Amino acid sequence: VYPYYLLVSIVLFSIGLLGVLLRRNLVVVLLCVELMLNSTNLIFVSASQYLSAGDGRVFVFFILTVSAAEVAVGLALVISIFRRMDSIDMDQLKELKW
Amino acid sequence: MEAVLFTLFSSVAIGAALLMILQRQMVYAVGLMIVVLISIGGLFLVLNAEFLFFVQLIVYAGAVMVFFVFTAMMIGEQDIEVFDVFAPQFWIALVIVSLLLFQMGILVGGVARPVGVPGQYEEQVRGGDPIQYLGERLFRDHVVALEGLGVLILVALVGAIYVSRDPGRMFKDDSTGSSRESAEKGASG
Repeated sequence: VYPYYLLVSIVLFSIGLLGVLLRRNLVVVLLCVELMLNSTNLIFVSASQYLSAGDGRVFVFFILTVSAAEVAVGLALVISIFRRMDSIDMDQLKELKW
Repeated sequence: MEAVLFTLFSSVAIGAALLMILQRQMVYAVGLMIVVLISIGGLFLVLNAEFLFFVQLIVYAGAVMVFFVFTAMMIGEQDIEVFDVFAPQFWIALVIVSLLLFQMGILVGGVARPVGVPGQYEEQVRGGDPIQYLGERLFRDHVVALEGLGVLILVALVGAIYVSRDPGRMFKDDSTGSSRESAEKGASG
């Protein structure tokens, strides 16, 4: 059963990566980052169950906390960008474009 | 029974994730993300990680997603197209992601089991509480990392408040205030 969990995890990770690369709405991009982190959590838990090692379950907490901090700062940045540019379209953020 | 639950939760998770990145309105995308998170929590439950299931429900599907809903409501619905099919980045990204998926699929199909030393999780938990086991590992073996996480959360809290503050409201003569702020001033004055 274990390879199927890995398969689901990599499919979810790929969907998240696709969203990060393709979407132009900043909030949806942050959602897709969350999806990628969550698929990693799924790999950790399934490997922990398969190897009968508790460390995977402990590491899920660390990923969870880091992602919560990332969401807090990321959404604050989104709001700040929206205040400044009246838009959360990624294509509008081109002032640093070379 | 386990296979049925696994198929159910994983198909719901993948389907809702696909719908999420195709969703034009971000409030619907957040709703679909909640479905994905609850399905992944169900997979945790199938994997005998009950406590992580509850943490997933409370922290992710509850707190973090409420944050997203608040931001989406505050910003309001934006008319941004989902994909730009005519941009070259679209096809480049599609090729890169499918190559990555192919590579990871080869790894999963070929290796099929993780490299590592089997632990004694079952033996250590047996006769005890899994939550007690997790707490002991967190507060005894990983206590430095846990304190580091506390510092990280504090920094993120202060940083989020600082970044998202409204400059127009803090300094009356700040010319960098947002256009919405100046519009409000114009309306009131």
